[in-house]
Amino acid sequence: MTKNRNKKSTPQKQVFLPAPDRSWYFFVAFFLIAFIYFLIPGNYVLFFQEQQSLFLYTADYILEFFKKPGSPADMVAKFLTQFYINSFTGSLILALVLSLPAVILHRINRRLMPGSGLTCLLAIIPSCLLLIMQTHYYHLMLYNAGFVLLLSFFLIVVSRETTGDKYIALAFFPVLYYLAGAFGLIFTGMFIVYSLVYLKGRHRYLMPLMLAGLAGLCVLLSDKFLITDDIKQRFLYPLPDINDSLHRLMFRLMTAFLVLYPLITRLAGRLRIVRPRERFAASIALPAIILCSAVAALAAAFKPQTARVINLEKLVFTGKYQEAVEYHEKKPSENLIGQYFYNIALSSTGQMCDRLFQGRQDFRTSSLFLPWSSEHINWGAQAFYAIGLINEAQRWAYEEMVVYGKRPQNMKLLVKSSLINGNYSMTAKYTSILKKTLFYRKWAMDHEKLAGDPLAVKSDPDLGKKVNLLPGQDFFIFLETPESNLPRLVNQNPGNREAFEYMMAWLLINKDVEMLVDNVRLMKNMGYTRIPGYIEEAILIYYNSQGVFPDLGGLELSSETRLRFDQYFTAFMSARQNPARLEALMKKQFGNTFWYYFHFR
Amino acid sequence: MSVIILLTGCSGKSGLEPSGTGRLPAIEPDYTDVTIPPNIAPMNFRIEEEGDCFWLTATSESGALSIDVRSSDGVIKFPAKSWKKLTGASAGSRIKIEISASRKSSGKLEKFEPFYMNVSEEPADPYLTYRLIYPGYYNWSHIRIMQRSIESFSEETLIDNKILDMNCINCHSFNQYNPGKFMVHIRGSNNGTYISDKGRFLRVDPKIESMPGGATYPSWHPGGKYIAFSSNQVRQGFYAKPEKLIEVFDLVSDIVVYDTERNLTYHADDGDTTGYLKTFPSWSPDGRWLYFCRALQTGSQSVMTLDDIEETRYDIVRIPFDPETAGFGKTEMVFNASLNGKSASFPRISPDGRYLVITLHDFGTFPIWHREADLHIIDLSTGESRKMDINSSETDSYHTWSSNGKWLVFSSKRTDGRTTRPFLAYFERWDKTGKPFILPQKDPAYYDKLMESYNIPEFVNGKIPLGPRDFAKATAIEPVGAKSGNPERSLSTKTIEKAGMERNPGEKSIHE
Repeated sequence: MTKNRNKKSTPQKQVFLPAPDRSWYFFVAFFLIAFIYFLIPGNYVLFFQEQQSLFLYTADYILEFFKKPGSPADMVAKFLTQFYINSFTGSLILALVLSLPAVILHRINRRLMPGSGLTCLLAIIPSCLLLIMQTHYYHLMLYNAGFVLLLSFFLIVVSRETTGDKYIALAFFPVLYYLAGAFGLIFTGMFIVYSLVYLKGRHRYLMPLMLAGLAGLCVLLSDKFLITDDIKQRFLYPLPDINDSLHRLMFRLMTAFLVLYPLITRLAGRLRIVRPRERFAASIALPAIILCSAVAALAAAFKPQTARVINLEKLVFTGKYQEAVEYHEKKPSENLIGQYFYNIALSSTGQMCDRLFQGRQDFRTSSLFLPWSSEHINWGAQAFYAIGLINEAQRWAYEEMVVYGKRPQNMKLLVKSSLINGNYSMTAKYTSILKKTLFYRKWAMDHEKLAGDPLAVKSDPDLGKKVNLLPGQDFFIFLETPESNLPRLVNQNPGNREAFEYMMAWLLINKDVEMLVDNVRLMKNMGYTRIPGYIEEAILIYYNSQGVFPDLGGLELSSETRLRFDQYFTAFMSARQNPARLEALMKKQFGNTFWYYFHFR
Repeated sequence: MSVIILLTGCSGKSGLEPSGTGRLPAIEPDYTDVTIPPNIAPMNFRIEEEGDCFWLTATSESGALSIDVRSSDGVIKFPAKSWKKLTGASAGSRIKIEISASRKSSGKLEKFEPFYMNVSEEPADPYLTYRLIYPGYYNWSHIRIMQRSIESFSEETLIDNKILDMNCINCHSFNQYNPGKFMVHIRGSNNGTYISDKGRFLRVDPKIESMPGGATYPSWHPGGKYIAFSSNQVRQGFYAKPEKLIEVFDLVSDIVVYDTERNLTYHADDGDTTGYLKTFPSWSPDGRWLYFCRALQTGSQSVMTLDDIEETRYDIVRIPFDPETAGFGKTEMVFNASLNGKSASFPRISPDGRYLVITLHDFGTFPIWHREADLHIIDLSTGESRKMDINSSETDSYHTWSSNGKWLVFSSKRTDGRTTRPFLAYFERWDKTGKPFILPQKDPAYYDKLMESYNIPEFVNGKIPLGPRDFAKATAIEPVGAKSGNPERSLSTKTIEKAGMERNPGEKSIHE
């Protein structure tokens, strides 16, 4: 009778057949979102990370990654990161890696909750969390690799059919720990929950015990034999420790979600999702909401100011100075580093005293030379390189290399500065490093050819220009008051117009009109045929207060500037009637003049 | 004995037409006609000649022993055991090296003129210790003190700042080349002078109030009880022109002697009130004299201009010392370098007490950044001096004698002008030294890739039985501050405060 009843009920059970799995549509959608985000608005993240290290194709470099747990994952991550140099390839790789957790969890779900309508939803959440974390420019590929490795190992273990096979797979935990370091500890938590939720009998306790023992042994052994890092590094490497509240929250959420994942799948698997509406909600609507939320989070997490700074940096580092000038004027950076790069771009295009106030100058003279600190060590060399104080540029680049390791920009600057200084032995040393990379090899070989040939160095458009700027007499560089170097550079080498305009920019920003106009007499002998606009404006301020013109050394003020000053003066006198609106009125018409800066900033 | 190392890609010599080049082969490092100790590791090098295959035969002078090496890429790596036998059997004579190269394109076998490596009878001390550090400016990152067996390629880390809170690790000094008794300075959160005596650590601070700075540049008294230090307020200046990079100079400096048993620090005072800068102490082998460098103070103790520094020239002087009472006599001039417009640094006396080797440069106190710096030797019995024949056009500086007085290890920047490398030179007599050679490495291209400098190479007569973790553990010891051995002696408080407070623009203590 019972059998018959069961047979009768069979046709009804067909109603509960699993719905078609549409997860792959969502995974593809996720991939496209990530790809487009990092190709266009978030591309600055890729540039920033590519600039953090050099992947060297040498045995010594590779072997270093095998000296401590977690480092092999770093090797893979750095290998992939080098491709960020190309926006398309970089975005493609990053989107693929970010999609991997979803794919792996999808396969895990087939084991843990076969046929469940929530498979896609649960699988896609970690990828979305990673994507949001990845919006932070310090979220390295290493962290993605760590999560991918631990999930892959979890998949391997739970895919074993028999308990014996699971023990065997688990015995390979030290391999995971060696590859992914502390990410292995997240796996430990995940597997312990899995054992307690999914396994039965004594194995639900024996397996976690075995794993805990293995994890403890791994930590002890690595501590004893492998590494010499401090205690924090020993236990936490390479987990992220980024000083950003959103990133920390996302990382904790991600870790908690993964550790509890077996429990979540257990509970989700028990849910009976049978009605079409429920199925739609579980397998389409909810994943779509998660994806939409991820897009919204991306938009919210996007930091336009950070993007502007790094984009400016990219333009300057790639020698696109005119583009950098226009970019900052169109999309002003409110950041010190952004404005610093704008000033370098102005100097490199000979527009310092013609365009200085066309872009924002919110940090006064700090955006001309960055103060000496480890915070600014990545960028500080560029200003000194711009004014031809090559020894100081080299020092900053070298110090950056000592503190942060070999990076594209510090190595390139070391190559260029050693060529300019004629230290060709060191050029060979630095180029030999860049030649071991995939994407800087050609640049290194091109520059290596110049070593030993001062004429070739002088003929190079960039290097030759800097050779001509070198100081004539020696002096000790002023480190804490870098502006004090400028008069020396100018006096010893009147051809150094870059240093001269930096000096004039310093005086303009400091509103030191008297000292500024005193230098105008030098300009004709320096090769100037006209006075740059902002210096003219300063001269007219001087004239307005003193009633006489300073010695212009044979140069003349342009009629346009005189006319504009008259307009400014008239507008100022008129607007003064309304003191409350004075600044706003003047800003509207003359906001990019030195006169406005002088009176209102 | 004949050993052949076969490498793939190299076929036999048969069928090739031999021809003599009439010249020596270009090799890197340059090991042609060098003098080596019998206990040196294999002198691996690479042949920088065109060729598809290279053959090398190294033969003892008697012809009884030889090693054959074949290489397709020109890299010559001698097998360790065979090399040991060859050098052992060649002590007091020389090894003949013959190299030939084949080119497929021409079908010729080019034979180069043979060159020789002279093997001395006297070995060098088996270990070298040195600090590996970037030759940088203010910043440091990873710093290690290493010990390297010169008899093999074995190199081990002795101290690693990765487990010392990234502190700066400074000078190390051994008592009589003894691996069981040495000291090292650590600056930063684990600050102190760590003294290791037979595996037992002391953590002390020899600085007393009257010293212008911390204790630096140590030298152990041969008796093992005292350590001489200089106490310096060190500053750095960075040059604008490409020819020079850095000038390291002292605002104020003085010499002190620390009694390790009684924890007392004494100023090496002879009552002379002239304003001197005093640095780089070094004991005579009998422990009765303390040599050091001394210059008339040109700056104002708080500011040194470039002109001041260029006018500061150090002489070598010595002061008698009584180990029983820790008393000092009157300072006397040993080598008046300033008289000849030069400045002397790093006095090092040979173990027999007869010779003094110094670094001579144009001015100032820190020759490491002076390209013109060269090693000079002074015969202390006659006062005669001469430039040694081991110098190069780049900086040749920091040097140490081996315990048998037959070898010198010194730091040279001759390979690239920036990074220092350890060179060993055989000391035959005061006017003759063997051609120096760079410490051999397993990979002959090692130095090309290494960005760090070998800093303060010191001979040690055995392996130091300690490692980085031992030093990390030693940081748990509470530091003990020294007391003044001659409390009546002190610099004026005003002078110390002034020197510590005022700074030349752009100058900063290198340890800040």
